[in-house]
Amino acid sequence: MEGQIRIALAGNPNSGKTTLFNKLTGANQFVGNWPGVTVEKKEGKLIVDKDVVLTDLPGIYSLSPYTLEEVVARNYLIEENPDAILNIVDATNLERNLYLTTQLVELGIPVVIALNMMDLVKKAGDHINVKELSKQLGCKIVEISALKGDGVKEAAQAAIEAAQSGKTIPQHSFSGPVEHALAHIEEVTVHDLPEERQRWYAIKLFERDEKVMEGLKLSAETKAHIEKDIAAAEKEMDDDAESIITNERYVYIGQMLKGIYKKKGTGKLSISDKIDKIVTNRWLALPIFAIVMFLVYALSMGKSIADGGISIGTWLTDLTNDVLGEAWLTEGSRAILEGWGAAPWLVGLISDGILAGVGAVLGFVPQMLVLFLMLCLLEDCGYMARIAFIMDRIFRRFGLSGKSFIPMLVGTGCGIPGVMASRTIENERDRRMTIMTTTFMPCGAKMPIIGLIAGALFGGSTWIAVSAYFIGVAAIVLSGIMLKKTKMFAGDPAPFVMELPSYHLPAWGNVLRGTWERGWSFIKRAGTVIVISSIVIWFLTSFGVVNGHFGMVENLYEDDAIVTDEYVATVADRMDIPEDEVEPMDDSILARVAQPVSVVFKPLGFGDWKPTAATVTGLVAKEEVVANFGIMYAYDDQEGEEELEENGDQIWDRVAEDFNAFSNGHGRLAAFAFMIFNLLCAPCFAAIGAIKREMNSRKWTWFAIAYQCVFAWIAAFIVWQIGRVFAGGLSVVGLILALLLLGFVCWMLFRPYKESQKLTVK
Amino acid sequence: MLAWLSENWANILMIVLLVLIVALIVFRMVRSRKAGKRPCGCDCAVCGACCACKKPAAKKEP
Repeated sequence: MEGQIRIALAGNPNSGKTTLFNKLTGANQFVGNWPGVTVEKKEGKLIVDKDVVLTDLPGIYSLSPYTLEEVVARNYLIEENPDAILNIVDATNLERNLYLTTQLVELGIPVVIALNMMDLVKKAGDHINVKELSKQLGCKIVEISALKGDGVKEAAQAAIEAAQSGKTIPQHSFSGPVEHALAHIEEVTVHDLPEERQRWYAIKLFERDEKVMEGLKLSAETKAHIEKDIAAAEKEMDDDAESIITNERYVYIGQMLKGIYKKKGTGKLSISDKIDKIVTNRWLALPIFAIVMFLVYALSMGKSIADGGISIGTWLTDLTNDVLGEAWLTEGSRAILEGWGAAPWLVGLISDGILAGVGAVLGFVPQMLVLFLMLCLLEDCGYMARIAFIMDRIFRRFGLSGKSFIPMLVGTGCGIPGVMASRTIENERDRRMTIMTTTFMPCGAKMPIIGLIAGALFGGSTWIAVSAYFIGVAAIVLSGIMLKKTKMFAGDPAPFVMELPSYHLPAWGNVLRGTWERGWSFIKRAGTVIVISSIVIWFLTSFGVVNGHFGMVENLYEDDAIVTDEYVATVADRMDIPEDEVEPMDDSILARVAQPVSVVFKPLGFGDWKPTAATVTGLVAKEEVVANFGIMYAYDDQEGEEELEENGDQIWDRVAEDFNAFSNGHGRLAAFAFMIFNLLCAPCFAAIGAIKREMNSRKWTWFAIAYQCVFAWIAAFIVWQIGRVFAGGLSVVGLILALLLLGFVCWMLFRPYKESQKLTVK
Repeated sequence: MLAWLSENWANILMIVLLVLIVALIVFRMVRSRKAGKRPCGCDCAVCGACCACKKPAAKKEP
């Protein structure tokens, strides 16, 4: 665009790029405290100058094309040729960050360095001679604190000035043999390219960068010619070309920093290191992780503070349900609509359909917000990044990489970004396996299911919510171990290098933004997908064929000429329930369709049409499971009269009663099996779509869905069948089958890992 | 006619409102889909791979 200035924001992962980007553009991009949050570039206009477009590039360590992030960043810098680069450098990790800087200054694009986290450097008593560093690197340096917003405007201004007038000339030169080879390469291959870009290309050719060679379309003759120069330098320096360049850069940086960077307490442990000594300790790491996650779920979804627990989330949810369920949604809407003289079916559609469905889902928003707040706090202070590190140690024992755990951390908000975050995994087999297992993590949409089961059947027990999280983690670990032992996924784990950010006090702006983004997305979905689904579900549960007559089942059941004793006996036989338990909804379209399918769930303890319908409609959106219950149990016809329940609690009481009824008194166990199945089975259609895009294969997508469903079924089956040994009413056949399946799982887990000896990672 | 309208105004109003709401939701969902946004529980803006989701992943190993 004419007159626009384009500035690229480049830097190492976790150096604060996205925070700086948000500060400068006023954007709300998600800031993650682990690498890979920014996989693709994002653009925004500067708040202070709308003619300046800032591009947030993914975090990279170098301009070598080893990872997707590096390819994206490098392609942008080379092909789009921005007017300036704002290189954000983490001052607390100066040496490693400058490795990228030495490459950026070779691109021929004006570079301005934003020296971030200088407040931490000063706090530690260290000193950086910024003036001298600027002179040595040949580019302007501005001290900033992206988190606090100090110096960010000055950095942007410096980048604008550099874009308009500046020019960065690399001050660094390599040793004689390398410079000799570079001069030859420049002369032979890149002399017709822009002068300022020639050196970068020559260095990349020296490193035998295949992508650059492809891009330049070098002839075989030219390649052979420069190969002689490279080989000569390699022989003289007794190392391979790429290592020579890497070593020389680090030697240069080391020498430069000698007089510039003065560390006060060299060798001393920082506070962050001291915390890590405990938090990432070989023996303590996992128990601490378990305690932390227990507290997170106890505070958000455990026993309410009103009932002697510690959960603020449940207390707020109960409060919201009382208001939403009683005052506004049910009694309020019904009274208003009836007062207006609206037709009964319309009152039913709005009150018992849309409002009951959406209200059931929205009732859980407070719990979700508290949960997201806790998770965002853990992310922002730097703890969550440690989890990936801790999990890498465990995963590696089973041939897995900790890199696979990052998408799972992302997936706690929503499975879709979790699935997409798997793109950072280079090993295709590990990537596919991660895609298949990421959605085992309980995402935000599954929270209402957990809240419903915990609240309705377990008296708000904290352990249910906590167990849901750890069931997700266990499913991922167990699946990983088992799948790695199959030929499809065998192979050595990819190396996992991750920088652990220093612990710091959470930035409330980031935390609240992250919490709100996730919570608001959930609310928006309730107002769109769930509204439409609720209308459909209300229609399917309200209409049906009763004794050959189509219409609203409630109305048809009032006609004794249609609903005869013989007919009731037929329905009772079809639904496998006593005659006095037959209700109009048993003849609804949904009941008719779901009843035959419920056979699949009979061995899991919830083979009734209602949980079956809820489970299947959960494919539209996982919140739909709870919305479905909200609609199906919105009536109380125990007295033979249609009367809307007074509040949400009573609806959930009816859910509990029903679970007890169709599981012969083992309602809790059946509900737990139901929760397990819904947590682990195929995700919603949107997430399945993401799986299909990432797998880029119909066959693999179907395999992933089938695996998830079978895994979920087996897990729920084992829990229900073995659980009945303790709860009573065991089925011998079921128990034998459960033990056989458990044995198979154990065999898969403990059988020797042979394939890795034969197959190598590509 | 007027008598019928005065008797059924609540039904007509509710039906019109419902149809409008549903149409608006469907319109927004279709527009979001065309714009490359996903009907997921997350806003794609919060996703680190938001741009990547619009195009299929490159096929790598068979």
